[in-house]
Amino acid sequence: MGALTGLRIIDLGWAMAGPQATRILADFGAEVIKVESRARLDMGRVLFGPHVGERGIENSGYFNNFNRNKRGITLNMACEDGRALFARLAAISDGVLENFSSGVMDAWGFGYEGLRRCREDIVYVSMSGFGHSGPYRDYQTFGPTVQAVSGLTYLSGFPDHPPAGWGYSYMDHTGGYMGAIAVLSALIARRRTGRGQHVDLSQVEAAIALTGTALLDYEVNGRASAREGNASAWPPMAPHGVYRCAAPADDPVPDDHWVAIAVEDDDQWQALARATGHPEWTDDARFRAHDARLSHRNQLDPLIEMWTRERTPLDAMRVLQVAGVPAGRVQRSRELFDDDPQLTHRGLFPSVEHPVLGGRRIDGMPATLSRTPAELRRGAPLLGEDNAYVYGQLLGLDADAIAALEAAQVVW
Amino acid sequence: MSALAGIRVVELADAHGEWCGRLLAGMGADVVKVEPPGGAPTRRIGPFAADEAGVERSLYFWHFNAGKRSVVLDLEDPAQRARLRALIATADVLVETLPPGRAAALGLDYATLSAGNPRLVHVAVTPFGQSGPYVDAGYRTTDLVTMALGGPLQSCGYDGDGEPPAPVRPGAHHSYHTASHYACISLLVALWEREASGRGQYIDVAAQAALAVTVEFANLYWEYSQGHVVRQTGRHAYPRRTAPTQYLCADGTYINLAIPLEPKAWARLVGFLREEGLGEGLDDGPQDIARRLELGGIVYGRLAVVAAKRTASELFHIGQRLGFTWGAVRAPEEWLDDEHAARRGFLARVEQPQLGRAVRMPGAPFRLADMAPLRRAPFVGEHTAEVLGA
Repeated sequence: MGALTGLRIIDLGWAMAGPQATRILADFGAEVIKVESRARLDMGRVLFGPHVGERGIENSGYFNNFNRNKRGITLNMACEDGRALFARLAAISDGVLENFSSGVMDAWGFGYEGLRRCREDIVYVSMSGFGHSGPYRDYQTFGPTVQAVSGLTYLSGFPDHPPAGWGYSYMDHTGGYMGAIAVLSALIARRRTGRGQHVDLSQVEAAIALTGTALLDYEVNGRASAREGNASAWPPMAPHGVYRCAAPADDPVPDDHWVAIAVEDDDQWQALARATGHPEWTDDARFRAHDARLSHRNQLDPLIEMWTRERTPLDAMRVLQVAGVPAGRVQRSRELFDDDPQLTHRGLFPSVEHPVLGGRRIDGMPATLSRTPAELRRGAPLLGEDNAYVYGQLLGLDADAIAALEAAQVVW
Repeated sequence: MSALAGIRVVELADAHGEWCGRLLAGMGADVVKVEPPGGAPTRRIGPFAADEAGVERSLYFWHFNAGKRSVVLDLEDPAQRARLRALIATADVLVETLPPGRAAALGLDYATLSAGNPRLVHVAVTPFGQSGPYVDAGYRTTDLVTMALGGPLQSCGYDGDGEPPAPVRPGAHHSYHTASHYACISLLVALWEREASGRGQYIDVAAQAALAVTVEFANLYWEYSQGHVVRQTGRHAYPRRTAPTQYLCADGTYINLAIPLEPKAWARLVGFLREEGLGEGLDDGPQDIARRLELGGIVYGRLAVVAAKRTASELFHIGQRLGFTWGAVRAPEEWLDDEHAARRGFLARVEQPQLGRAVRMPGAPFRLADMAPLRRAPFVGEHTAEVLGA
């Protein structure tokens, strides 16, 4: 029994943000039914790799990662019979989640009012880019757009350089986390009030909420946002940065090895100087006191890097951590999966069996619940893999009826 | 009533857990923040109002603690620890960020607390979790270091010629945000489950682990093809270089562009470039996606020319009205004067007596029914008497 066993959620999500939200619910035992159609395949199946072998619809690692533990059906929402079936499914479901552009659900007749006609107390979470109201409601986004317009991209990078932004769709993950929180909170509210609701989640608004104090600093102090590279103005720390290291023996990548170091106070600074064999640094007036180090950080960083360049990231991290200085290897996924004893201890990347991909490790659950931990039951569904279960067992159609719907390209 | 009305949360948290409490407070939970005498350490993180440091002037604290109540208790004092235990006995949720082992030393471990309150959901949020090699070795960390150990830094930074430039922390606090998101999700899961079982449980959230499953492609390329991603300016890190998507505009700001691959959108893009006098040599609607990809390099070059003639804001709206996922790289404060944010009522107005006025800050990341207006962050111990009694 999972914590959410007994809950049934319809997942109209595609690409990543929606599937990330429902994946978490599925990991905790909710019955998540992913609705797809051959008429409009999830780009997570087709566009996003890596695919094993030639690009196909059943061999995407991306799709497997974000849709494991879910059931999958095919249903053509473009036809009236398809929408009628969807209404029957909604009637026996607790929630519906989607990350379409604003307006798609209304066009199908399944805006919140339409869904309520299927089931009065349904919970509906929409996760469009800009939300379902306001002048930008029809604007379209993917992760990098959300990060750009929200201010997240602007805040990343060096002050005298263009924005560096995020090297991945942070907001697809995080929009998904917010989506899961929204579903759970609305369900908890429903248990108390007996009423469902529509949560209009705008991924851009979720992202703006993560820009920290930037907006408030402008509002209160009139100070414009600024990038700070790898420095830390608040809390003030120096040295504070990412420093180049030597390549480990036998590593195929010759020149991309780094360690992050953050010195919080004078004690850690003295410990760093001793551990690196440079006690004289603490006598240098430029570096002795915290404030002095902050104003001379550009002279300090090259000295630190002279030391790190002679060591692998792991060696540098160990020497500094033993001395009590916060330091961490910039870990690639290679290290996350195969060379980090802490993540191994947590069993963060469990393996799941997929009919086409075989046994593959996937992103696991970083929150460990003592009584009802997340569980892995299956890989991502093949296209329409659970049609018999959903249309047969849940909706009570017999095999002939399902076959007829398939022939008519309704179950399609 | 707000979604989480009636849920009482005791927060004994530093930066790793404060965002979780802020989210819960925004959804209507009664979040009681327990602070040491003199106030929580996060009150000393700037920037400060008018740049004057002070425990009631930290904008960091205002942002991460809006909507909560504050109680002061000295955990070094056994009598006050007993009062804290009595408070937790009335709570639905405890969110704490104590170093592993510290809770037990204070008599605040789950075994002790659940004996008095079996329905308690106890969430512990730490950098590495409650056990394991890094915990045993006493590893120390900060936001930057956790972002390195958790994997996001491998993907974030700039294009380079030859030797790759350094990874860049993509803004501050995201190890805390991500840990808090998993804390929030998992405690809601436990609250849901509690209604069936009648029992709470203990939840161990690790920030490093939370980040390590929040890196998108990098993990997939390692697991499926033993590949490493290469950092690129303003776009996804990939095993191979892809065309730049971030372009400088006439006003000195940037736009993030993407070329649509869907045939109808492609035709609209070619039409737009023709109107700009830049359509030469582009097919209207090549049916072959390979051909469109091949033309991509030329099209990006033309878009760079367009960008140089327009402001980022103009090009954002032009592109979006044509149905493209283009986005101006905005500074966060640009949302203070944005019509869309205003129409949706996204910004919260919060009275700050320190300033004698209301200030605007980012509101709830999503709106549930019947949400109460966001309240300002509490003063140190503002609610001690109210919560604990005289």
